[in-house]
Amino acid sequence: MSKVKTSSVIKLIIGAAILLLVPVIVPNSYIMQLVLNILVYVILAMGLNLLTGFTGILSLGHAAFFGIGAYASGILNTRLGWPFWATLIISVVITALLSLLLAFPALRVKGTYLVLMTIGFGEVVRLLLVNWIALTNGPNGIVGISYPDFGFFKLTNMNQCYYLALIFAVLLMLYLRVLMKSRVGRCLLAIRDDDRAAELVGIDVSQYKLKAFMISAAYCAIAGSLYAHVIRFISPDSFRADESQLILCCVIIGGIGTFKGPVIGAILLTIIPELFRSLADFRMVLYGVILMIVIIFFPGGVARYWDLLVAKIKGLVTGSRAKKAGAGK
Amino acid sequence: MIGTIFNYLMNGLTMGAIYALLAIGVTVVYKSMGMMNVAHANTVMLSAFATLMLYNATNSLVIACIVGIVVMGCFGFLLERFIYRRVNYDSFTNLMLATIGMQIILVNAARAIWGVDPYSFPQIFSIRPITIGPIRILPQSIGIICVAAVVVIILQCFYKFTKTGQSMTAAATSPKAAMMLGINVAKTRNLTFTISAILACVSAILISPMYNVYPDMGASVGTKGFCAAVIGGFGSIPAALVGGLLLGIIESLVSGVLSAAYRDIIAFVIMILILYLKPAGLLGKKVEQKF
Repeated sequence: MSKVKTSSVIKLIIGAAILLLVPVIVPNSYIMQLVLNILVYVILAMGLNLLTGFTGILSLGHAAFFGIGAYASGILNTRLGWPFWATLIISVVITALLSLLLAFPALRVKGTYLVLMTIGFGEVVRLLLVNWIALTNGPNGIVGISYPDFGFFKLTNMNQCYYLALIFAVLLMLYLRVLMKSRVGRCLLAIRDDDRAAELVGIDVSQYKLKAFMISAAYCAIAGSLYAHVIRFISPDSFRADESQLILCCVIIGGIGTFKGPVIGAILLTIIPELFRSLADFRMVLYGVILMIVIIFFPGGVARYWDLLVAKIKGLVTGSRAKKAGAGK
Repeated sequence: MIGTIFNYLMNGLTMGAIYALLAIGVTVVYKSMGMMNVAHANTVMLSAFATLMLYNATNSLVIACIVGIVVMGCFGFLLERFIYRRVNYDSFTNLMLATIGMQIILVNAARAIWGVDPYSFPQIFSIRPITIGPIRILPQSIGIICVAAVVVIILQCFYKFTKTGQSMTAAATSPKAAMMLGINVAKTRNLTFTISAILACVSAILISPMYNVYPDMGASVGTKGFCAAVIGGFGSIPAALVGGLLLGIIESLVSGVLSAAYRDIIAFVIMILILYLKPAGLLGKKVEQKF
């Protein structure tokens, strides 16, 4: 077993305590909705990060998987009356299989062409969601999706849903860590760094790329199911191209190819528009400006500069303490 | 029967001309900087608003268009000079993200300043159709196609026959070699963006009478501009033109024969098919794996 520092254990316990007490700390349901939003985007960003940050496949169409997952859950719940756990499993399976429709063609292209293909896929899915009215109820969306129901235990309000979402986020994060530490993870990183060299070393690049697509889509499907059952209303408007862009921004600004990155990105990109609410219509402009600033001056993502930031803050704190000690003498 | 098919073709060519202009605007930037300018459609939107404001101020369409083109050219110039240049040009991801950031800024600034409701743009060409037997032709269609054709011809001549154009092509093909020959690559990149912005303004002037002017107007036609560029072949102006026209005609035929609702889908389905079967596009020679 590796040595575990006492300080990190303490930090973990404090962090866990805060996370568990969130529904108590949070003053009103609007902020709780923000928190749930953050959790959904954390899962989405982790999914995209797997594909983009760890396998090197840039995708601007991931809202499609989010949408397919959400709609699969919504349709199964409202038309067949299936409970959350059932809709979750089926929507994950459906989304993972449908992701192959993008993954197979994507094996053949790179760079700009790959991004364009993902954009195209995202648009096709969105247009199907809007126009296939018999299946999806079109632009009106699907209403009346029920809260998660486990048979013996029924969730009835957002605070309860928070714990469910938190459990999923934490489990998915742990799974990602385990995955990336395993041989599969190392293969994906090899593919990201140079897929031709990876092929030469004996890695079946196509198989791993397909798997990465499917897992990434599965993550988005889970986020979609959660979203559908917690918000209880879905419409094609939530799954447009700017949604895909938002997820990508979460990953890139948070820190692409890192573990902390998606979490930081999701938190930042949910909180910043709220902080500037007072600016009314101009707050999204400021949001865009901040995006540009991060892209230009912090190109690796905030997570990569996180340690620098923490070190700087520590330096300031210890610096002032040292000054006081020195002055005392 | 002949009349209906002809109408489809005319509609298709008209929309195709618009798609072609958008595709060229994007292609020019891609060829020169390897950058996918997602914000091009939003530059179109901004041009539309700028021209509209100028028209409201001066009450002359001609002046508004000319000044609008000049203003948007300056906008493109400044954008590249002060913002995009600071992003590392070797990183394709970062450049694309910078354009996404710009897109967010432009759309929301437009929403904040002008609101979400559409404004009407004055008609440039008469909308009374000319009838020849079973065939009805809108002067607007002819006008758009002619303007697009003229623009393409001017651009091609510029790139092939002027020294600046040739040096821009050289810089696009190999920046390092161009620098060794004494070409100011940074300046050519700057000029490319300016040209792209001017193209955006021309596109805006042609689109606005039909679609009205509103902050989200970029979304509907913008992505199709990319589709057109892919179909024809990223990286060459004639290819973008062919791609645009083809896309317009196919869309028009599909929407007429099958169903209007699925008109938009066909563009993206075709794009994915082309990317799968021949990524270089119909007119491209081989896939340039720059990135």
